[in-house]
Amino acid sequence: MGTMKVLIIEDNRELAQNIKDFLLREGYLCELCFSFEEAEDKLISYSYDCIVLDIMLPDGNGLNLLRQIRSGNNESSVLIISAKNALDDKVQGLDLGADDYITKPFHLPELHSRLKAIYRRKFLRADNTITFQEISVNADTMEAKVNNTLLDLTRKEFDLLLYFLISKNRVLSRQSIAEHLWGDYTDNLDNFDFVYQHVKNLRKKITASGGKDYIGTVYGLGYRFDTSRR
Amino acid sequence: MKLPRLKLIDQLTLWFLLVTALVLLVGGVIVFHVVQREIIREDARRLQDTVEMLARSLQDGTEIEQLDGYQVNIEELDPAARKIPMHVKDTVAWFPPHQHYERELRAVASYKINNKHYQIAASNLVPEQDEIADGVVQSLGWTFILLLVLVGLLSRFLSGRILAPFNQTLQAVKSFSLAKQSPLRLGSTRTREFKLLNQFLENMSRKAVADYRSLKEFTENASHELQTPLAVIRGKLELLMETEISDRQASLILAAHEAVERLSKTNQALTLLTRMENQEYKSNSLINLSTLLHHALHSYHELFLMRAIGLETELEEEVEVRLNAALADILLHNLISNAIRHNDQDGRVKVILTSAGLLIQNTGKPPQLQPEELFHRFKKDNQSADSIGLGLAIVKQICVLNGFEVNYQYQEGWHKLEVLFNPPSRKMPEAAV
Repeated sequence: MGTMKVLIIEDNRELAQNIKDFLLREGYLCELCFSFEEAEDKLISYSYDCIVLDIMLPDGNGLNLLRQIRSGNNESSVLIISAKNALDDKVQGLDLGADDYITKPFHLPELHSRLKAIYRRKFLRADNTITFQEISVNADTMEAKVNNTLLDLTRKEFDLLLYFLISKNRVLSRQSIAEHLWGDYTDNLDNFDFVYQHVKNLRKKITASGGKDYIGTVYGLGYRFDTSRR
Repeated sequence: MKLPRLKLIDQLTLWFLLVTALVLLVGGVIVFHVVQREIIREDARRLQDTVEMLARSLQDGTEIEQLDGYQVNIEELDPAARKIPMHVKDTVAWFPPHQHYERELRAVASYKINNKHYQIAASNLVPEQDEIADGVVQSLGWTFILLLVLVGLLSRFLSGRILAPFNQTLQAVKSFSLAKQSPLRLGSTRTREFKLLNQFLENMSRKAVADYRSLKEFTENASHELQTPLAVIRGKLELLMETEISDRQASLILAAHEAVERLSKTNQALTLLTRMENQEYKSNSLINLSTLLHHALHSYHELFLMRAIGLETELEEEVEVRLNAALADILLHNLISNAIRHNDQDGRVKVILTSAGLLIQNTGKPPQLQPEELFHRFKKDNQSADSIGLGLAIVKQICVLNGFEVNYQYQEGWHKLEVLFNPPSRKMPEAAV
């Protein structure tokens, strides 16, 4: 996967900067723009692999920008950011050709994983395998292998492994993992024991198949897939 | 005393007839007296004339025998007796054909003619008081019945015409919904009161729609404006997590992170409540609650296992209710997660769905709050201080919005939450929803 070029259209500078800071560590090229007008200029002059688009912009509706992107034969994948509960925006956005949506406030690793997923879907159709050392995961067939031994993972464990592999060396908070695996339903749950349980099972299954235990806890914050482990 | 609710026109008609009846009653008494007086006066005058005419005939030399006859009586009196002045007596007389006494008017006077003294009397039968009364009552009675029929028919007809604009206004107001965001448009009318009413209603609805719009905008903006800084804080904390930090710093970050999560959940829940109050969720189609419930329970499957909570279900299939799909989802998830959260380790949850309602009950410690307080915002049991205390308020609001009824009971170690889809107290389906 070459260097991914990302345009972040978000009127809140701090939020835009957060996203940029997070994605820079992945080696992506990120550009920021804070208004509808600025975004229009950028989109005319350059092309991007991915566009992160906030729907509520001070000088225009992000959905109109999305319309422009899609009418202009622009192949970029688009991830829209909308306020929670703004169901209409989500539906409309997807209808207009957005590839995915995420609601505010989101976890940065979650945003990253969504971006990665839509990027894979769009540009790497042939082989959707992510490999790290002895671990390889195929997002299409939902197969995970350690040293070519198929792991017997549940759906949630598979998703969790994929999430870790996309966010290598990142701290994944328990909330972030919970929301990634269970979506909105974690809203009403305030106990993250089940995250611990899933991580424990995943680690057990990987080590049982001869893989290294890359997943470690980070303070009390969460977990990290540590590529430098042992 | 409770009076039955009457239509405006019926009330007017009723009052009109009541007043008419009173007037006819008083009028009847007046008519009776006037008629009686006139009859008596006229008869008396005629009888007096007859007496005088007879007297003149006697003077002219006509024989008594020729004049004396039916209803006329001429007698000779003692010439020395005092003259009887003309007077009229209201008396009774034996009426042979009917064999009873009849009311009779009698004019009597005496005259001295040709040195003779005659007493001349003329009498006539007159209608008795009860006969006159009978006639008056009958004629007025028929008048009243005629009025009753005519007014009854006419009021129906006229109310249709005169009250038509009013009924149109009623219909328009009934189908008015703030969520539609269009002010009332009422037709023109030539009745001044209705015109005023329509103008007033139109202005009021315009104002309400404007207020509603600004409130809606405020809610949306507030939600967005709060979510953005929250997202910023969360992002900063996540970036901070990835730097070299000490354990102490990590625990500070964790605490801040958790507080931000809570804040954002509270904001989301409040936004949801406000949007529901603004009636932004329309329930225009039937949804299959059985399927939704299966899905919802399935998504909590792991959680049940993890907390070793036994789940029993009795789910009737194909239960359909009129409810917004998003709200149905929220309702079920709030109820189920509630039953898990307020449960004991190794507890039990029982879910029963019928076409009449949904009962979710779970084991757990008795509540410390009054049952009705559980549905209040930010009221929560100490048992789980982590929750934001809006879950049941949201459940309640969804139920209120859709005409459901939600009840809570604690019985023999079970928390029982019941949602009735068609409660007996259910009123008319709200047009606005």
